[in-house]
Amino acid sequence: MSASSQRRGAAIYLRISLDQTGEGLAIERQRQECHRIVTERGWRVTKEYVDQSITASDARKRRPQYDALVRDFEAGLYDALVCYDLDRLTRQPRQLEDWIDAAEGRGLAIVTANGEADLTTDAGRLFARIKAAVARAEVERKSARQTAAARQRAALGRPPLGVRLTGYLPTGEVVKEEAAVVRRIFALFHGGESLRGIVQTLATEGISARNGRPWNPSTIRGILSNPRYAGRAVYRGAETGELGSWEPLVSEDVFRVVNARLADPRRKTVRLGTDRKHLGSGLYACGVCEGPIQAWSGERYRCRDGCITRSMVPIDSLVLAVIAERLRRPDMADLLAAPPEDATNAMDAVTAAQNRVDAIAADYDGGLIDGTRFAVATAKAKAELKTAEGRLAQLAPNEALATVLAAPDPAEAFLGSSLMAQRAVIGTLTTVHLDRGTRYTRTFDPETVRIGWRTGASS
Amino acid sequence: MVAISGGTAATNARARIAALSRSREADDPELLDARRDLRTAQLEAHIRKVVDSAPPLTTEQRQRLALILAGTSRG
Repeated sequence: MSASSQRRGAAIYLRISLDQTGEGLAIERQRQECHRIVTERGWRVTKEYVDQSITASDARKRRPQYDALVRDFEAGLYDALVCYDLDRLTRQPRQLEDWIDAAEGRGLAIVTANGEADLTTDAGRLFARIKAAVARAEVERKSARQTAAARQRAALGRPPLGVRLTGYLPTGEVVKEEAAVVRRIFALFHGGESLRGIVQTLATEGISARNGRPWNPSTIRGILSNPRYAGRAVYRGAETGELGSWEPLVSEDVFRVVNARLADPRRKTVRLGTDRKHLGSGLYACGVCEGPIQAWSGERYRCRDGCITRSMVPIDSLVLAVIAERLRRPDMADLLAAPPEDATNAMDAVTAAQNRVDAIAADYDGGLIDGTRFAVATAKAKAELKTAEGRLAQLAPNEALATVLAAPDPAEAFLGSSLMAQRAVIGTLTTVHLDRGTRYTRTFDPETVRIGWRTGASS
Repeated sequence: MVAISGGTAATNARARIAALSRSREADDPELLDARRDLRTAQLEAHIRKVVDSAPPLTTEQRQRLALILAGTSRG
Protein backbone atom coordinates (compact mmCIF):
# COMPACT_ATOMS: atom_id res chain seq x y z
CA MET A 1 0.00 0.00 0.00
CA SER A 2 1.40 3.33 -0.93
CA ALA A 3 0.96 6.16 1.47
CA SER A 4 0.70 8.77 -1.24
CA SER A 5 -1.56 6.94 -3.71
CA GLN A 6 -4.67 8.72 -2.49
CA ARG A 7 -5.31 12.09 -0.94
CA ARG A 8 -4.81 11.35 2.70
CA GLY A 9 -6.05 13.43 5.57
CA ALA A 10 -2.99 14.21 7.67
CA ALA A 11 -2.86 15.22 11.30
CA ILE A 12 0.17 17.28 12.35
CA TYR A 13 1.45 16.79 15.89
CA LEU A 14 3.90 19.32 17.35
CA ARG A 15 5.40 19.12 20.83
CA ILE A 16 8.16 20.86 22.69
CA SER A 17 9.16 19.86 26.24
CA LEU A 18 10.33 23.19 27.51
CA ASP A 19 9.16 26.51 26.20
CA GLN A 20 11.92 28.77 27.38
CA THR A 21 13.07 31.80 25.42
CA GLY A 22 13.23 31.01 21.73
CA GLU A 23 11.41 27.70 21.99
CA GLY A 24 8.43 29.22 20.21
CA LEU A 25 10.75 29.37 17.23
CA ALA A 26 11.44 25.65 17.62
CA ILE A 27 7.71 24.94 17.36
CA GLU A 28 7.54 27.11 14.27
CA ARG A 29 10.43 25.17 12.66
CA GLN A 30 8.70 21.87 13.40
CA ARG A 31 5.51 23.24 11.89
CA GLN A 32 7.16 24.35 8.65
CA GLU A 33 8.87 20.97 8.17
CA CYS A 34 5.64 19.07 8.76
CA HIS A 35 3.65 21.25 6.36
CA ARG A 36 6.37 20.81 3.75
CA ILE A 37 5.97 17.02 3.96
CA VAL A 38 2.18 17.23 3.71
CA THR A 39 2.48 19.45 0.63
CA GLU A 40 5.12 17.24 -1.02
CA ARG A 41 2.94 14.19 -0.64
CA GLY A 42 -0.15 15.91 -1.87
CA TRP A 43 -2.02 15.31 1.36
CA ARG A 44 -4.30 17.71 3.11
CA VAL A 45 -3.97 18.85 6.72
CA THR A 46 -6.98 17.86 8.82
CA LYS A 47 -5.83 19.48 12.03
CA GLU A 48 -2.75 20.64 13.89
CA TYR A 49 -2.18 19.43 17.45
CA VAL A 50 0.30 21.38 19.60
CA ASP A 51 1.50 20.50 23.12
CA GLN A 52 3.84 23.12 24.41
CA SER A 53 6.15 22.74 27.42
CA ILE A 54 4.93 19.21 28.09
CA THR A 55 7.22 16.22 28.42
CA ALA A 56 6.57 12.92 26.69
CA SER A 57 8.90 10.93 28.93
CA ASP A 58 6.46 10.73 31.78
CA ALA A 59 3.50 8.52 30.85
CA ARG A 60 1.46 10.01 33.69
CA LYS A 61 1.78 13.52 32.34
CA ARG A 62 -1.34 14.61 30.56
CA ARG A 63 -0.86 15.97 27.09
CA PRO A 64 -4.26 17.41 26.12
CA GLN A 65 -3.54 17.73 22.42
CA TYR A 66 -1.93 14.28 22.28
CA ASP A 67 -5.09 12.88 23.87
CA ALA A 68 -7.17 14.72 21.26
CA LEU A 69 -4.92 13.26 18.56
CA VAL A 70 -5.61 9.73 19.82
CA ARG A 71 -9.33 10.40 20.10
CA ASP A 72 -9.53 11.84 16.61
CA PHE A 73 -7.64 8.84 15.20
CA GLU A 74 -10.11 6.50 16.86
CA ALA A 75 -12.90 8.58 15.36
CA GLY A 76 -11.30 8.11 11.95
CA LEU A 77 -10.66 11.80 11.33
CA TYR A 78 -7.28 11.23 9.64
CA ASP A 79 -5.24 8.44 8.09
CA ALA A 80 -1.81 10.01 8.09
CA LEU A 81 0.18 11.45 10.96
CA VAL A 82 3.05 13.86 10.48
CA CYS A 83 5.44 14.86 13.22
CA TYR A 84 8.94 16.25 13.34
CA ASP A 85 10.45 13.17 14.90
CA LEU A 86 9.07 10.01 16.49
CA ASP A 87 10.26 11.15 19.91
CA ARG A 88 8.01 14.21 19.51
CA LEU A 89 5.08 11.82 19.31
CA THR A 90 6.07 9.61 22.22
CA ARG A 91 9.01 8.48 24.30
CA GLN A 92 7.00 5.65 25.80
CA PRO A 93 7.58 2.24 24.14
CA ARG A 94 4.08 1.21 25.15
CA GLN A 95 2.49 4.19 23.44
CA LEU A 96 4.63 3.49 20.40
CA GLU A 97 3.25 -0.07 20.26
CA ASP A 98 -0.25 1.43 20.17
CA TRP A 99 0.74 3.49 17.14
CA ILE A 100 2.30 0.40 15.50
CA ASP A 101 -0.95 -1.48 16.07
CA ALA A 102 -2.82 1.42 14.52
CA ALA A 103 -0.50 1.48 11.51
CA GLU A 104 -0.88 -2.27 11.00
CA GLY A 105 -4.58 -2.48 11.61
CA ARG A 106 -5.82 0.58 9.79
CA GLY A 107 -2.98 1.55 7.54
CA LEU A 108 -2.05 4.73 9.30
CA ALA A 109 0.89 6.35 7.55
CA ILE A 110 3.21 7.90 10.08
CA VAL A 111 5.74 10.23 8.55
CA THR A 112 8.45 12.15 10.29
CA ALA A 113 10.41 15.10 9.01
CA ASN A 114 13.64 13.18 9.66
CA GLY A 115 12.71 10.39 7.24
CA GLU A 116 9.61 8.32 6.81
CA ALA A 117 8.93 5.74 9.47
CA ASP A 118 6.59 3.46 7.60
CA LEU A 119 5.08 1.52 10.41
CA THR A 120 3.26 -0.83 8.08
CA THR A 121 6.55 -2.59 7.21
CA ASP A 122 8.81 -4.75 9.40
CA ALA A 123 11.79 -2.52 8.73
CA GLY A 124 9.80 0.60 9.64
CA ARG A 125 8.55 -0.96 12.86
CA LEU A 126 12.06 -2.08 13.79
CA PHE A 127 13.34 1.42 13.09
CA ALA A 128 10.57 2.94 15.22
CA ARG A 129 11.18 0.55 18.10
CA ILE A 130 14.91 1.20 18.07
CA LYS A 131 14.18 4.92 18.08
CA ALA A 132 11.81 4.52 21.03
CA ALA A 133 14.30 2.39 22.95
CA VAL A 134 17.04 4.92 22.33
CA ALA A 135 14.74 7.73 23.41
CA ARG A 136 13.77 5.79 26.55
CA ALA A 137 17.42 5.14 27.38
CA GLU A 138 18.13 8.81 26.89
CA VAL A 139 15.44 9.65 29.45
CA GLU A 140 16.94 7.20 31.91
CA ARG A 141 20.42 8.52 31.31
CA LYS A 142 19.11 12.03 31.85
CA SER A 143 17.59 11.00 35.16
CA ALA A 144 20.85 9.32 36.22
CA ARG A 145 22.74 12.43 35.15
CA GLN A 146 20.44 14.60 37.25
CA THR A 147 20.83 12.33 40.28
CA ALA A 148 24.60 12.38 39.90
CA ALA A 149 24.54 16.14 39.48
CA ALA A 150 22.43 16.53 42.64
CA ARG A 151 24.83 14.31 44.58
CA GLN A 152 27.75 16.27 43.23
CA ARG A 153 26.06 19.57 44.12
CA ALA A 154 25.62 18.33 47.68
CA ALA A 155 29.22 17.11 47.83
CA LEU A 156 30.46 20.47 46.58
CA GLY A 157 28.31 22.17 49.20
CA ARG A 158 26.10 23.90 46.66
CA PRO A 159 22.43 24.45 47.48
CA PRO A 160 20.15 21.69 46.21
CA LEU A 161 17.87 22.36 43.26
CA GLY A 162 14.13 22.26 43.64
CA VAL A 163 11.89 24.23 45.95
CA ARG A 164 13.99 26.95 47.53
CA LEU A 165 14.47 27.17 51.26
CA THR A 166 12.85 30.14 53.05
CA GLY A 167 15.59 32.70 53.57
CA TYR A 168 17.61 31.77 50.47
CA LEU A 169 17.42 32.14 46.72
CA PRO A 170 17.74 28.89 44.74
CA THR A 171 21.33 29.89 44.08
CA GLY A 172 22.03 30.13 47.80
CA GLU A 173 22.07 33.90 48.26
CA VAL A 174 20.35 35.17 51.39
CA VAL A 175 16.92 36.81 51.04
CA LYS A 176 17.34 39.49 53.68
CA GLU A 177 13.76 39.86 54.91
CA GLU A 178 13.06 36.14 55.02
CA ALA A 179 16.40 35.52 56.71
CA ALA A 180 15.44 38.00 59.44
CA VAL A 181 12.24 36.01 60.09
CA VAL A 182 14.16 32.72 60.18
CA ARG A 183 16.74 34.15 62.61
CA ARG A 184 13.91 35.48 64.71
CA ILE A 185 12.22 32.08 64.85
CA PHE A 186 15.49 30.55 66.07
CA ALA A 187 16.01 33.36 68.60
CA LEU A 188 12.47 33.03 69.95
CA PHE A 189 12.74 29.27 70.38
CA HIS A 190 16.26 29.53 71.78
CA GLY A 191 14.93 32.11 74.21
CA GLY A 192 12.36 29.67 75.56
CA GLU A 193 9.35 30.35 73.38
CA SER A 194 7.21 27.39 72.36
CA LEU A 195 6.35 26.48 68.78
CA ARG A 196 2.79 27.70 69.26
CA GLY A 197 4.03 30.82 71.02
CA ILE A 198 6.20 31.63 68.00
CA VAL A 199 3.20 31.15 65.70
CA GLN A 200 1.21 33.56 67.84
CA THR A 201 4.00 36.12 68.00
CA LEU A 202 4.44 36.09 64.23
CA ALA A 203 0.67 36.29 63.69
CA THR A 204 0.37 39.26 66.06
CA GLU A 205 2.99 41.09 64.05
CA GLY A 206 1.34 40.22 60.77
CA ILE A 207 4.29 38.17 59.54
CA SER A 208 3.03 35.42 57.30
CA ALA A 209 4.81 32.47 55.74
CA ARG A 210 6.11 32.62 52.17
CA ASN A 211 2.83 31.38 50.73
CA GLY A 212 1.02 34.27 52.41
CA ARG A 213 -0.67 32.01 54.95
CA PRO A 214 -0.11 32.16 58.71
CA TRP A 215 2.77 30.13 60.14
CA ASN A 216 1.92 26.90 61.88
CA PRO A 217 3.87 24.92 64.47
CA SER A 218 4.93 22.21 62.02
CA THR A 219 6.47 24.67 59.55
CA ILE A 220 8.24 26.40 62.45
CA ARG A 221 9.55 23.01 63.56
CA GLY A 222 10.61 22.29 59.96
CA ILE A 223 12.68 25.47 59.93
CA LEU A 224 14.20 24.87 63.36
CA SER A 225 15.24 21.35 62.40
CA ASN A 226 16.66 22.10 58.95
CA PRO A 227 20.47 21.73 59.17
CA ARG A 228 20.90 23.92 56.09
CA TYR A 229 20.25 26.97 58.28
CA ALA A 230 23.41 26.10 60.21
CA GLY A 231 25.27 25.86 56.90
CA ARG A 232 25.33 22.07 56.75
CA ALA A 233 24.90 20.36 53.38
CA VAL A 234 21.99 17.97 53.02
CA TYR A 235 21.39 15.31 50.37
CA ARG A 236 18.06 13.45 50.20
CA GLY A 237 17.11 14.65 53.66
CA ALA A 238 20.31 13.41 55.29
CA GLU A 239 23.34 15.45 56.20
CA THR A 240 26.40 14.76 54.10
CA GLY A 241 28.78 15.81 56.85
CA GLU A 242 30.03 18.64 54.66
CA LEU A 243 29.46 22.34 55.03
CA GLY A 244 27.48 24.17 52.36
CA SER A 245 28.80 27.14 50.44
CA TRP A 246 25.88 29.33 51.54
CA GLU A 247 25.88 31.72 54.48
CA PRO A 248 24.45 30.07 57.62
CA LEU A 249 21.59 31.98 59.26
CA VAL A 250 22.29 30.60 62.74
CA SER A 251 25.43 29.48 64.46
CA GLU A 252 26.27 25.81 64.79
CA ASP A 253 25.89 26.00 68.57
CA VAL A 254 22.47 27.62 68.50
CA PHE A 255 21.30 25.03 66.00
CA ARG A 256 22.59 22.19 68.16
CA VAL A 257 20.96 23.53 71.31
CA VAL A 258 17.67 24.22 69.54
CA ASN A 259 17.57 20.72 68.10
CA ALA A 260 18.53 19.09 71.37
CA ARG A 261 15.54 20.85 72.87
CA LEU A 262 13.26 19.92 69.99
CA ALA A 263 14.24 16.27 70.23
CA ASP A 264 14.33 15.81 73.96
CA PRO A 265 11.00 15.71 75.76
CA ARG A 266 12.77 16.37 79.07
CA ARG A 267 13.77 19.79 77.75
CA LYS A 268 10.13 20.79 77.71
CA THR A 269 10.44 22.02 81.26
CA VAL A 270 7.62 23.46 83.29
CA ARG A 271 8.94 26.97 83.03
CA LEU A 272 9.78 27.01 79.36
CA GLY A 273 8.45 25.48 76.26
CA THR A 274 4.90 24.78 77.30
CA ASP A 275 2.23 27.27 76.53
CA ARG A 276 0.78 28.90 79.60
CA LYS A 277 -2.19 31.13 80.04
CA HIS A 278 -1.03 32.84 83.22
CA LEU A 279 2.18 34.62 84.05
CA GLY A 280 2.86 32.88 87.34
CA SER A 281 1.47 29.37 87.08
CA GLY A 282 4.26 26.87 87.58
CA LEU A 283 6.72 29.77 87.87
CA TYR A 284 5.91 31.32 91.25
CA ALA A 285 6.25 29.22 94.40
CA CYS A 286 4.17 29.02 97.56
CA GLY A 287 5.76 30.97 100.41
CA VAL A 288 4.49 28.40 102.89
CA CYS A 289 5.19 24.97 101.34
CA GLU A 290 7.49 25.93 98.43
CA GLY A 291 5.16 24.06 96.09
CA PRO A 292 4.43 25.44 92.62
CA ILE A 293 1.65 27.95 92.22
CA GLN A 294 -1.20 27.18 89.88
CA ALA A 295 -3.97 29.23 88.38
CA TRP A 296 -7.21 28.64 90.17
CA SER A 297 -10.74 29.62 89.39
CA GLY A 298 -9.77 32.06 86.68
CA GLU A 299 -8.33 35.05 88.48
CA ARG A 300 -6.50 33.59 91.42
CA TYR A 301 -3.27 31.82 92.21
CA ARG A 302 -3.27 28.95 94.60
CA CYS A 303 -0.64 26.45 95.70
CA ARG A 304 -1.31 22.80 95.07
CA ASP A 305 -1.93 22.10 98.73
CA GLY A 306 -4.08 25.17 99.14
CA CYS A 307 -1.79 26.93 101.68
CA ILE A 308 -2.46 30.24 99.99
CA THR A 309 -4.99 31.73 97.60
CA ARG A 310 -4.15 35.10 96.09
CA SER A 311 -5.65 37.44 93.55
CA MET A 312 -3.68 37.31 90.28
CA VAL A 313 -3.78 40.82 88.89
CA PRO A 314 -1.92 42.83 91.58
CA ILE A 315 0.76 40.12 91.93
CA ASP A 316 1.44 39.92 88.19
CA SER A 317 1.45 43.72 87.91
CA LEU A 318 3.99 43.98 90.72
CA VAL A 319 6.27 41.31 89.26
CA LEU A 320 6.15 42.87 85.79
CA ALA A 321 6.85 46.32 87.27
CA VAL A 322 9.83 45.05 89.28
CA ILE A 323 11.36 43.31 86.26
CA ALA A 324 10.73 46.34 84.03
CA GLU A 325 12.36 48.58 86.62
CA ARG A 326 15.35 46.23 86.81
CA LEU A 327 15.65 46.36 83.01
CA ARG A 328 15.55 50.18 83.11
CA ARG A 329 18.65 50.36 85.30
CA PRO A 330 21.76 51.76 83.63
CA ASP A 331 23.60 48.42 83.52
CA MET A 332 20.91 47.17 81.12
CA ALA A 333 21.08 50.11 78.72
CA ASP A 334 23.17 48.24 76.19
CA LEU A 335 21.40 44.91 76.64
CA LEU A 336 19.71 45.10 73.27
CA ALA A 337 22.43 46.99 71.44
CA ALA A 338 23.01 44.97 68.33
CA PRO A 339 26.34 43.30 68.90
CA PRO A 340 28.69 42.78 65.97
CA GLU A 341 28.42 39.43 64.23
CA ASP A 342 31.45 37.83 65.90
CA ALA A 343 30.22 38.96 69.31
CA THR A 344 26.87 37.29 68.58
CA ASN A 345 28.66 34.09 67.68
CA ALA A 346 30.79 34.29 70.81
CA MET A 347 27.67 34.81 72.93
CA ASP A 348 25.94 31.92 71.23
CA ALA A 349 28.97 29.79 72.00
CA VAL A 350 28.84 30.73 75.68
CA THR A 351 25.11 30.00 75.87
CA ALA A 352 25.56 26.68 74.09
CA ALA A 353 28.38 25.63 76.39
CA GLN A 354 26.35 26.63 79.43
CA ASN A 355 23.38 24.68 78.10
CA ARG A 356 25.61 21.63 77.63
CA VAL A 357 26.75 21.89 81.25
CA ASP A 358 23.09 22.06 82.31
CA ALA A 359 22.12 19.18 80.03
CA ILE A 360 24.86 16.95 81.44
CA ALA A 361 23.69 17.75 84.96
CA ALA A 362 20.11 16.90 83.93
CA ASP A 363 21.28 13.60 82.43
CA TYR A 364 23.10 12.78 85.66
CA ASP A 365 20.08 13.74 87.76
CA GLY A 366 17.88 11.61 85.54
CA GLY A 367 20.18 8.58 85.98
CA LEU A 368 21.06 8.54 82.29
CA ILE A 369 24.83 8.75 82.91
CA ASP A 370 27.00 7.51 85.73
CA GLY A 371 29.28 9.55 87.96
CA THR A 372 32.45 8.94 85.97
CA ARG A 373 30.93 9.99 82.67
CA PHE A 374 29.30 12.96 84.39
CA ALA A 375 32.66 14.12 85.71
CA VAL A 376 34.39 13.70 82.33
CA ALA A 377 31.57 15.34 80.35
CA THR A 378 31.22 18.21 82.80
CA ALA A 379 34.95 18.91 82.78
CA LYS A 380 34.93 19.00 78.98
CA ALA A 381 31.86 21.23 78.78
CA LYS A 382 33.21 23.58 81.42
CA ALA A 383 36.49 23.87 79.55
CA GLU A 384 34.50 24.77 76.42
CA LEU A 385 32.54 27.31 78.46
CA LYS A 386 35.74 28.87 79.73
CA THR A 387 37.16 29.11 76.22
CA ALA A 388 33.94 30.63 74.92
CA GLU A 389 33.81 33.15 77.75
CA GLY A 390 37.43 34.03 77.11
CA ARG A 391 36.64 34.66 73.46
CA LEU A 392 33.71 36.85 74.44
CA ALA A 393 35.81 38.78 76.94
CA GLN A 394 38.35 39.63 74.26
CA LEU A 395 35.65 41.06 72.03
CA ALA A 396 33.70 44.24 72.03
CA PRO A 397 35.16 46.28 74.87
CA ASN A 398 33.93 49.49 73.24
CA GLU A 399 31.93 48.32 70.31
CA ALA A 400 28.69 47.96 72.24
CA LEU A 401 28.89 51.54 73.50
CA ALA A 402 28.55 52.94 70.01
CA THR A 403 25.18 51.32 69.56
CA VAL A 404 23.75 51.96 73.02
CA LEU A 405 21.98 55.15 72.05
CA ALA A 406 20.17 53.49 69.18
CA ALA A 407 19.35 50.36 71.15
CA PRO A 408 15.74 49.48 71.90
CA ASP A 409 14.62 49.85 75.52
CA PRO A 410 14.84 46.42 77.20
CA ALA A 411 12.04 47.30 79.63
CA GLU A 412 9.72 48.19 76.77
CA ALA A 413 10.76 45.05 74.92
CA PHE A 414 9.96 43.03 78.03
CA LEU A 415 6.55 44.61 78.63
CA GLY A 416 5.65 44.21 74.97
CA SER A 417 6.80 40.62 74.65
CA SER A 418 4.77 37.43 74.74
CA LEU A 419 3.67 35.77 77.96
CA MET A 420 6.15 32.93 77.43
CA ALA A 421 9.04 35.33 76.87
CA GLN A 422 8.04 37.32 79.96
CA ARG A 423 8.01 34.10 81.96
CA ALA A 424 11.45 33.24 80.62
CA VAL A 425 12.82 36.64 81.66
CA ILE A 426 11.25 36.44 85.12
CA GLY A 427 12.66 32.92 85.55
CA THR A 428 16.11 34.06 84.45
CA LEU A 429 16.25 36.95 86.90
CA THR A 430 14.19 36.01 89.91
CA THR A 431 12.43 33.58 92.15
CA VAL A 432 8.95 34.65 93.22
CA HIS A 433 7.32 33.39 96.42
CA LEU A 434 3.77 34.24 97.34
CA ASP A 435 3.05 34.60 101.05
CA ARG A 436 -0.37 34.62 102.65
CA GLY A 437 -2.27 37.82 102.07
CA THR A 438 -3.41 40.04 104.90
CA ARG A 439 -6.79 38.89 106.08
CA TYR A 440 -9.86 41.09 106.12
CA THR A 441 -8.35 43.75 103.92
CA ARG A 442 -8.70 44.46 100.23
CA THR A 443 -5.51 46.46 100.11
CA PHE A 444 -2.69 44.67 98.34
CA ASP A 445 0.46 44.38 100.41
CA PRO A 446 3.50 44.16 98.08
CA GLU A 447 5.57 42.70 100.92
CA THR A 448 3.60 39.46 100.56
CA VAL A 449 5.21 38.87 97.16
CA ARG A 450 8.80 37.92 97.90
CA ILE A 451 10.98 38.53 94.88
CA GLY A 452 14.43 37.00 95.18
CA TRP A 453 17.20 37.67 92.70
CA ARG A 454 18.97 34.80 91.06
CA THR A 455 22.70 35.05 91.06
CA GLY A 456 23.51 32.08 88.86
CA ALA A 457 22.17 30.15 85.93
CA SER A 458 18.42 29.76 85.82
CA SER A 459 16.81 26.45 85.10
CA MET B 1 3.98 51.98 85.05
CA VAL B 2 4.72 55.47 86.31
CA ALA B 3 8.36 56.46 86.16
CA ILE B 4 10.03 56.19 89.52
CA SER B 5 11.03 59.52 91.04
CA GLY B 6 12.61 60.44 94.36
CA GLY B 7 11.41 59.17 97.72
CA THR B 8 9.44 62.32 98.49
CA ALA B 9 6.40 61.31 96.44
CA ALA B 10 4.96 59.27 99.30
CA THR B 11 5.66 62.04 101.82
CA ASN B 12 3.92 64.59 99.59
CA ALA B 13 0.93 62.33 99.09
CA ARG B 14 0.67 61.72 102.82
CA ALA B 15 0.76 65.47 103.54
CA ARG B 16 -1.93 66.12 100.95
CA ILE B 17 -4.19 63.51 102.51
CA ALA B 18 -3.66 65.05 105.92
CA ALA B 19 -4.55 68.50 104.63
CA LEU B 20 -7.61 67.36 102.70
CA SER B 21 -8.99 65.09 105.42
CA ARG B 22 -9.39 68.07 107.74
CA SER B 23 -12.07 69.69 105.58
CA ARG B 24 -13.36 66.97 103.20
CA GLU B 25 -15.76 64.07 103.58
CA ALA B 26 -14.28 60.58 103.50
CA ASP B 27 -15.62 59.92 99.99
CA ASP B 28 -14.49 63.23 98.51
CA PRO B 29 -13.05 62.56 95.01
CA GLU B 30 -9.94 64.65 95.59
CA LEU B 31 -9.25 62.89 98.87
CA LEU B 32 -9.74 59.51 97.19
CA ASP B 33 -7.29 60.60 94.46
CA ALA B 34 -4.76 61.59 97.09
CA ARG B 35 -5.08 58.19 98.78
CA ARG B 36 -4.57 56.47 95.42
CA ASP B 37 -1.46 58.60 94.81
CA LEU B 38 -0.10 57.55 98.18
CA ARG B 39 -0.61 53.86 97.37
CA THR B 40 1.12 54.33 94.02
CA ALA B 41 4.03 56.16 95.63
CA GLN B 42 4.38 53.45 98.25
CA LEU B 43 4.33 50.76 95.59
CA GLU B 44 6.95 52.58 93.58
CA ALA B 45 9.16 52.93 96.64
CA HIS B 46 8.74 49.23 97.30
CA ILE B 47 9.68 48.33 93.71
CA ARG B 48 12.71 50.58 93.89
CA LYS B 49 13.79 48.96 97.16
CA VAL B 50 13.43 45.45 95.67
CA VAL B 51 15.37 46.36 92.53
CA ASP B 52 18.08 48.14 94.56
CA SER B 53 18.83 44.80 96.20
CA ALA B 54 19.39 43.09 92.83
CA PRO B 55 22.92 41.81 92.27
CA PRO B 56 24.75 42.50 89.00
CA LEU B 57 23.84 40.13 86.19
CA THR B 58 26.03 37.17 85.42
CA THR B 59 27.29 36.90 81.84
CA GLU B 60 24.99 33.97 81.26
CA GLN B 61 21.91 35.80 82.55
CA ARG B 62 22.77 38.77 80.42
CA GLN B 63 23.11 36.71 77.27
CA ARG B 64 19.94 34.86 78.00
CA LEU B 65 18.00 38.09 78.48
CA ALA B 66 19.47 39.57 75.32
CA LEU B 67 18.43 36.51 73.36
CA ILE B 68 14.89 36.46 74.73
CA LEU B 69 14.34 40.19 74.39
CA ALA B 70 16.12 40.57 71.07
CA GLY B 71 13.91 37.76 69.79
CA THR B 72 10.77 39.47 71.00
CA SER B 73 11.66 43.01 69.98
CA ARG B 74 12.45 42.07 66.38
CA GLY B 75 16.10 42.84 67.15
